[in-house]
Amino acid sequence: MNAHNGKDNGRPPAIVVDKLTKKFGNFTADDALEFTVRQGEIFGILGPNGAGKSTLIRMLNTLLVPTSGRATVMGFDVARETAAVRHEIGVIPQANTVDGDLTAWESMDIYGKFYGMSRRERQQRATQLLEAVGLTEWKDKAAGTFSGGMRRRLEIARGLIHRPHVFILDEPTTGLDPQSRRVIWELLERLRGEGDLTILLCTHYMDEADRLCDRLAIVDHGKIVALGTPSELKATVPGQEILTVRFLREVDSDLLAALKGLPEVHDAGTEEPHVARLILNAGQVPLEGITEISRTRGNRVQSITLLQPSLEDVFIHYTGRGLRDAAAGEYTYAIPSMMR
Amino acid sequence: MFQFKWSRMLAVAERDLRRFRRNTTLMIPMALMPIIYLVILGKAMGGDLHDLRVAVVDEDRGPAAVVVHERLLTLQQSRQLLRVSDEPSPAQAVEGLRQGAYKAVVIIPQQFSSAAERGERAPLGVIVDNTDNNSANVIESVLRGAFSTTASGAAALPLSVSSAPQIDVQRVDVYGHKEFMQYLVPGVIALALFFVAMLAGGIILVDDRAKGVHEGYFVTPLTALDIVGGLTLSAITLAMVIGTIVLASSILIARIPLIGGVTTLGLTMVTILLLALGLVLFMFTLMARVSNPITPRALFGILNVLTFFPSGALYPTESYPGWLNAISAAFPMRYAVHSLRNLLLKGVGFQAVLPDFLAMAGFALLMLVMAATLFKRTL
Repeated sequence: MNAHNGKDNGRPPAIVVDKLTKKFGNFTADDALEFTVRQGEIFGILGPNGAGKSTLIRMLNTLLVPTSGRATVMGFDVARETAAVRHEIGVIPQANTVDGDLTAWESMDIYGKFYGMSRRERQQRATQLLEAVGLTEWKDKAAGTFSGGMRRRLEIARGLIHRPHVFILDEPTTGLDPQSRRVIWELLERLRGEGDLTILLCTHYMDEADRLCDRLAIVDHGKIVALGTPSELKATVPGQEILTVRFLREVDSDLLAALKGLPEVHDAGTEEPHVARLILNAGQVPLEGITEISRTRGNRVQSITLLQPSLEDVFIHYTGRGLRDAAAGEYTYAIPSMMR
Repeated sequence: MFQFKWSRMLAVAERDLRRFRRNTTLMIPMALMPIIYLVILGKAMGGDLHDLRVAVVDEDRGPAAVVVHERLLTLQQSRQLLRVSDEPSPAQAVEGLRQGAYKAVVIIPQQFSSAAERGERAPLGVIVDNTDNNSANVIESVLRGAFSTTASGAAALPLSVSSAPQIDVQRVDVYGHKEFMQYLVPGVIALALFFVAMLAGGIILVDDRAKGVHEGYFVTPLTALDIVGGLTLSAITLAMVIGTIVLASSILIARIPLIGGVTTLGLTMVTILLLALGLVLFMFTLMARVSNPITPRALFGILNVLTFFPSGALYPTESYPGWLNAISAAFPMRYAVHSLRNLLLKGVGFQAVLPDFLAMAGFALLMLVMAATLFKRTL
């Protein structure tokens, strides 16, 4: 685990977390966490509900005082230099904090005032950001009339009004529909592409972490169980590609034995009554062999799905259990009509 | 659409009852409210008046005047109804009455004893502060009773005047005719400000906290003072707007002549400002750590009864027992009602309302310190 990989082209790290601990009575929410976030990267904190992610985020954005340990944001101590830290960060809390009574424009303008920005600066920045999040058309509407996705986009724009160096997002897409999630992902990817902004993204969605994060830490029970780039983490999982084959009828023992007999298949089992799960040795996908077995046994193949090792697998590997609310990254092959 | 099932209805009821059971502390105000209502209203409305301050101006100094003095002292000592003081001249006594030092002035005119000796009706002037008609009527009634030509009254007079003991109590209203509606105006303004404070300082504050608006504030450079100050400023602005509307409407509806003109209006606005400040900061203090939006709503009634009813808005504070006077004196509503009544109905000057202003400002300052201390900048 490369916890202290701070230097990046001579620039000091954006966030340094050093043995950071938070206790609530006898309960330890975060236990001696250690990691460093480089300037300009998207760093993910991935973990199930109750893992200690939000507590960590709240210590970094000065809402909670650490019990022990230390953390800095852009060089400022989160416990002692709170005012300076708050100038450096933009925050999207887990709860929706958009004021429904204000219009999108008013919301942006008022938050700009919180940071002491001039009128000209506020107008310029609000125009630019509302355009970036696709809310220009809605800028004079009360945020209370917005959909969940629009509110989140407004919060993102609002959190960036003062040009923060570090943008902290606590589960920004929780509860949103897939389209709104995708819009927010694209927005964050654009922000990453634009330059110096460091993003700390806290999520329990593996696909989100996989797609967006340069590096991520998997947190469970208040401890970091794995840290690295998504591919580095996946590479640490021993094993091969996995193929799931959905048949028209139930997979019986004869069919399973035939599948196991294929040279490319290391092992086979059933995932559901109609679905066989094949662990491949490496390399090739035995499409022809499966088609043949299906034809000779009169049990038509409905779909074949190739699963690559996911962060779910990483999580299972390190913790021995699955992430809640998780969805695996999967690639489904179109089944040619001749195979049906 | 109108299908009904007991089991479904009971399930709805069960859900609500379970919620109440898990929030038993919130049920306390519900049970407490009627009891507080009973005790406070029972003692704040219609109790026996006492310690009504009365000035006596003796321009006669004859034997009948001595009798009047003795009667007044008897009333003071036996029933604690009056607190009698001597004043050297009618002008000084009436000025004291106008400034709120007295509820009534009893003038024993020259020739009072001579008239009594001659067996004529001796006129006893009673000038009352009729902006408080309850007290004025009680004083008039008691004096008429005390000086009526009853046998006991006659016996009490000295021998030299006992043959003609006719004393005629003549009431003079110092402020002309005042309707009860005018008497209520100060209380109505204070009540409006209480509603604003409850809404802006209590309900909205806790709702915003529950909705996460404050969490949004906390991650910005805003300090606790920025937040408390900003919230106070907005609540005060709302209170001033509402207070001005209620003041203007009340003046028109109750036909209150602004005796002191612009000065009165200015001092009235200062009163509204100080009361609003005190009440808003009081609510901030109470709600500094409350996160359940039901709490301020549940406390609304109790706070209203505790602060408004013992303020003298509906009945003179002179009727309150000691403990109720202590509650009354602890809240700024009493000083505001007193100040507004003096300003709007009597047209008094700055000096007369200064003690009220100081009391309200002191309360507001105390609440500011407490609110700023209790308000948490972190979660």
